[in-house]
Amino acid sequence: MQVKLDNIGHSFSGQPFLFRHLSLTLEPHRVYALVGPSGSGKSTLLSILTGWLDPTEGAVEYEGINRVGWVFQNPHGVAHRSAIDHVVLPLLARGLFRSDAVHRAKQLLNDFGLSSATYREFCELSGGEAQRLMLARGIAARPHLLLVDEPTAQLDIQTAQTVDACLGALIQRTTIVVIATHATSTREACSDIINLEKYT
Amino acid sequence: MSWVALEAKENLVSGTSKPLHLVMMFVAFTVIATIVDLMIVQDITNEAYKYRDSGASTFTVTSPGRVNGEVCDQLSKLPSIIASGAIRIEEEPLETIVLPRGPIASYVVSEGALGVFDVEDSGQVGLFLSSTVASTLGVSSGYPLLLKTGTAQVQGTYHWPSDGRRPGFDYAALIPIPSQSLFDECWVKAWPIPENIQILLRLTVNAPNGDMQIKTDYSQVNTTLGTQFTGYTKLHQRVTQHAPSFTLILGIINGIVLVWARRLELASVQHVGVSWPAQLWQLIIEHGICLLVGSSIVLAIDAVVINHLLPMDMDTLWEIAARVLLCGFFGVLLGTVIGSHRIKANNLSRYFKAR
Ligand SMILES: Nc1ncnc2c1ncn2[C@@H]1O[C@H](COP(=O)(O)OP(=O)(O)O)[C@@H](O)[C@H]1O
Ligand SMILES: [Mg+2]
Repeated sequence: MQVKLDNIGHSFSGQPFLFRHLSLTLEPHRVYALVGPSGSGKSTLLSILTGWLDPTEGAVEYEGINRVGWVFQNPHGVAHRSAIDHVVLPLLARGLFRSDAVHRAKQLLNDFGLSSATYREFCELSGGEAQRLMLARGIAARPHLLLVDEPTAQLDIQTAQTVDACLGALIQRTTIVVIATHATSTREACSDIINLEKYT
Repeated sequence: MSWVALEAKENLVSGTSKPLHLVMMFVAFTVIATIVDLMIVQDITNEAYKYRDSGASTFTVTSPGRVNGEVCDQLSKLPSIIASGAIRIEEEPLETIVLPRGPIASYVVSEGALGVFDVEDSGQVGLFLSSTVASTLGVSSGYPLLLKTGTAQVQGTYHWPSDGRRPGFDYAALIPIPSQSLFDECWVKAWPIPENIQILLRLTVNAPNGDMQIKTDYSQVNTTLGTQFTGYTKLHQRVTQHAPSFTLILGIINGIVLVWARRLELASVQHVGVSWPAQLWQLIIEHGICLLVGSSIVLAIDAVVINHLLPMDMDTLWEIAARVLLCGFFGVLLGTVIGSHRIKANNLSRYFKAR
């Protein structure tokens, strides 16, 4: 199971290339930090990795990747549904029995430091809790490749660290994780770094 | 798939599907459309009743001494003929012993004519007075009337208001005689007005040897409201006949807007593995339950309106109300399907950028 980027490059119609000659192989059980200043094309590369956007140059090859998950910069939950409901739903959709789904969801919430928030409504969660819940929900869907776009950009440093602290839980549970970020703390929690500035 | 139903229930209970909003919108636009259309139908119907009850739909043929009373009476057996009967002007008016207002015009009439005049009948054999005569003389049904020629019983009275109908009957008496004789006129009160009314009237005129040259005059008891009732065209051209289309379109818009307002939630849920068909079912259940609740409220309001405000043909009114309601109901469901169809997991990033 892997994703191979072969000499990828992208430019939006007529504009200069955001990045070019990007070749690498993403492997299971690793968390990649995708770094670069704002506007360097981090979100663009994530879009290419989901397959929603075709790169201008080069090709992406997927081996054994069927489900791709995406966690956005802004947490987007359902205001008046509880935290656990958010995590149970993808498990039910995958075919688990409700009792199993609830059990698994509680484990996931625990791994992401959300035990105390299990039955709180989404709108009552703090920014850090909401973002961690989105990660937990993203993982509940069991993606082979999980793409996370600047999860801590909207958070203050301390809250961001609570999110970073959970990244270890991602590594165990997903095969491949790519996190776009410019937070140093996040970068340090990752196993590999892709610096877009190197590919121009 | 039972989790879909449970998810729908949770979304209703938590207010995620905006159930109050949907129920209120649905009730509001359905009830308004229904009431406005019912009001306009009522107006047109009242106009029709006025046309009919003032004698505009009572057609007459005049052929002095040639109208067959029996044939004339029989016409009331035909569909859409309410009543029919023959009359003949009595040369001698009635003269009472007390004379507050001069002689009373009098007419001999066939039995059927009593239906055309819509008399109030006491059952005591005698004559019928217009209500003006009755009140002027201070008599009513069952009383004796002292005439110069003797005493007559008042069998009943009839109303002849001055609403444009033919004069000569407002201060008059009707004397019923057996139908098997010849009269001057045949009157036919019809509703709705049959197209062949003149042909029917012509049947009552005796024409020896099939003589078609005999002079016959056709008219109406009330000629001031036109020879044709124009309300039907009004009924079929009324703006509010489109009330069902109106609720259908409003329903569709409502369904789309409700789904569209939740596009982030719905798309992101699809994105974590909930299939589109499962999500559509969930939305149909959520909106369907709101619509059932809304429909029962609408039906209750409709029942009150139809029973208490409009003394008319109930079936027609319920048909109007039901059509408006059903169109609104399926409009919302259709809007839900259309709205949901546009929510696709891979549109998610676009929704975010648009936010
Ligand atoms: N759909 C698009 N069409 C044209 N330009 C785009 C589009 N999406 C992003 N861009 C531009 O490409 C550049 C990189 O954007 P992005 O990938 O969002 O950067 P980052 O996520 O690193 O901040 C920006 O200058 C942005 O304006
Ligand atoms: Mg970005």
